[in-house]
Amino acid sequence: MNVTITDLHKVYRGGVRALNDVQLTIPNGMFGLLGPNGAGKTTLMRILAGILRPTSGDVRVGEYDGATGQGQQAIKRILGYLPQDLGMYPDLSAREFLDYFGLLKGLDDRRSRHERVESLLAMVALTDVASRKIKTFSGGMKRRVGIAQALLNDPRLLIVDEPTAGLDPEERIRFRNLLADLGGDRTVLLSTHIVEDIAQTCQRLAIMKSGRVVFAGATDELLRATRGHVWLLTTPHTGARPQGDLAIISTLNTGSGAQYRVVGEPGPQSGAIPAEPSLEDAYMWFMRDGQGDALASSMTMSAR
Amino acid sequence: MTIDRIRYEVRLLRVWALVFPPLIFIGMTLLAVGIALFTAHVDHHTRAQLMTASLEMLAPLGAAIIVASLTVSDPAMELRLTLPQPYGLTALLRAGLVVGWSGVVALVAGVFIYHWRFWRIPQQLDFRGVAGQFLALQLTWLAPLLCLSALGFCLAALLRNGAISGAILGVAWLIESLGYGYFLAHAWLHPLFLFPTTLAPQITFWTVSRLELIGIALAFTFVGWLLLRDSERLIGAADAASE
Repeated sequence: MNVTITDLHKVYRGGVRALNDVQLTIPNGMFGLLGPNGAGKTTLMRILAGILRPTSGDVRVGEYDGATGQGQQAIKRILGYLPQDLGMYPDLSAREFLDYFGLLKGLDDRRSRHERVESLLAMVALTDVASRKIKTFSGGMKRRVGIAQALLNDPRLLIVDEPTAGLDPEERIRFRNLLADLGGDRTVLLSTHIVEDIAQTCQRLAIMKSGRVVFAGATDELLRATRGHVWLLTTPHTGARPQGDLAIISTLNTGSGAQYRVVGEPGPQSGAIPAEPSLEDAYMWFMRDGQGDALASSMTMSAR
Repeated sequence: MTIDRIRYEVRLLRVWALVFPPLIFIGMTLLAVGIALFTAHVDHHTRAQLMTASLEMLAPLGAAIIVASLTVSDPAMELRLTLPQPYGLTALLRAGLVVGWSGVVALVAGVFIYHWRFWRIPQQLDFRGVAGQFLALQLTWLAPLLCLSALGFCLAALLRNGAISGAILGVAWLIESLGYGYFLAHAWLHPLFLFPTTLAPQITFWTVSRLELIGIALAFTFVGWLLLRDSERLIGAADAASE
């Protein structure tokens, strides 16, 4: 099922422009939405989920028109949503929380709802603690309850907003693997500002910056577009930082000096050695001042 | 609406939403008993006024403040707004549970208050039979309970803030309690007179003003329901609460 977003604008009361002429097509499977805080990711996802109304533009989820009330209702029936700030009812157990949301999602038959809840608890490895109150859960366990909740109605579109924020490395890897397993037969939109999450789970992604999509395509294309802009620079002592139109990705102290990994144009006299770009390099390249904006304009033109 | 759903909604009500209504009556009963035991000069009329006030003035205010605090404060608001079922329905169900529970407690307390002759009888109901009088007397608490709760529901939906809505309810309650003479003196304010049984049982418009209050409650509820359909306003309130 494709999600197609055309000429989407969102201006909040008070004139804050959160989305500016967004064009995006999200195909079946895992799709990453990458961008810094304030880029407009949450606004875009809330529009897709029917919480916010677009100021102008079109949103189509499969055959449904997200700009109409009727279309939004239809989308909500095939939607699973895991918000960034996952508020829960602390005095309910995980099993009760899922049972309650099953009711709200229209799973009225008690027996089949209980079966669904138990199978999802098993899937997220929470069966053993399903009777414990949610307030005793760690952040990672709460996220797993959240994803189980999102899957209750077997959604065709799954939206997860910053699902690994605040998780320890082990929980983050566990959660990423869980998400990757879900992408097979549905559209999964994963929003994050953690590049590694996208690198490990998504073949396609979009990068957002200041309310605009500055890149959309396969991760390979993103890396190709960045090739020739990533460099290794060695300086004789750690105090001398590389000069020029550069963004430093990492610094490695070599004892006798420092090796910098940079994106940008270091100039011919710098002694820079070209390096193979990673997704993080590519992200930084697109986030540089002016870089993303120029690309966004060209993407908008080509989309039309 | 299934029993399971109602069971969960009751569990999600805060404890004090369930404890507060009976506490009002227990407190007022203890106060009345204390007055009877330790202050011989206080007459039956004052004790009756106290007990009637617990039904007519305190229980509705308590329920209304609880309704206002519950209406827009769901910890999982963002998630709720992505569900096909409108959030307003949940808010209405929760308000209904609070009002229903307060009503049950008021009804039970009312049986005792009536039996012990501590219920101030409005002049309009003086000459009815016991059954008819007791039934009509239920309007004493029902009308202000519905009206104040609906006002709390509507204010919370409008202002998206339970605390401010509760404060406004408190001010309105004080104005009605202290300035009731003004409500008696002006005919156009009669439909808004909330507490005539406690403060002015001799009025001739007791029954009609009770029914008008119920009508006003329906109007407030409808406006609140319309306001709660706007998910953009609700998510704004949820974001502000989490910051």
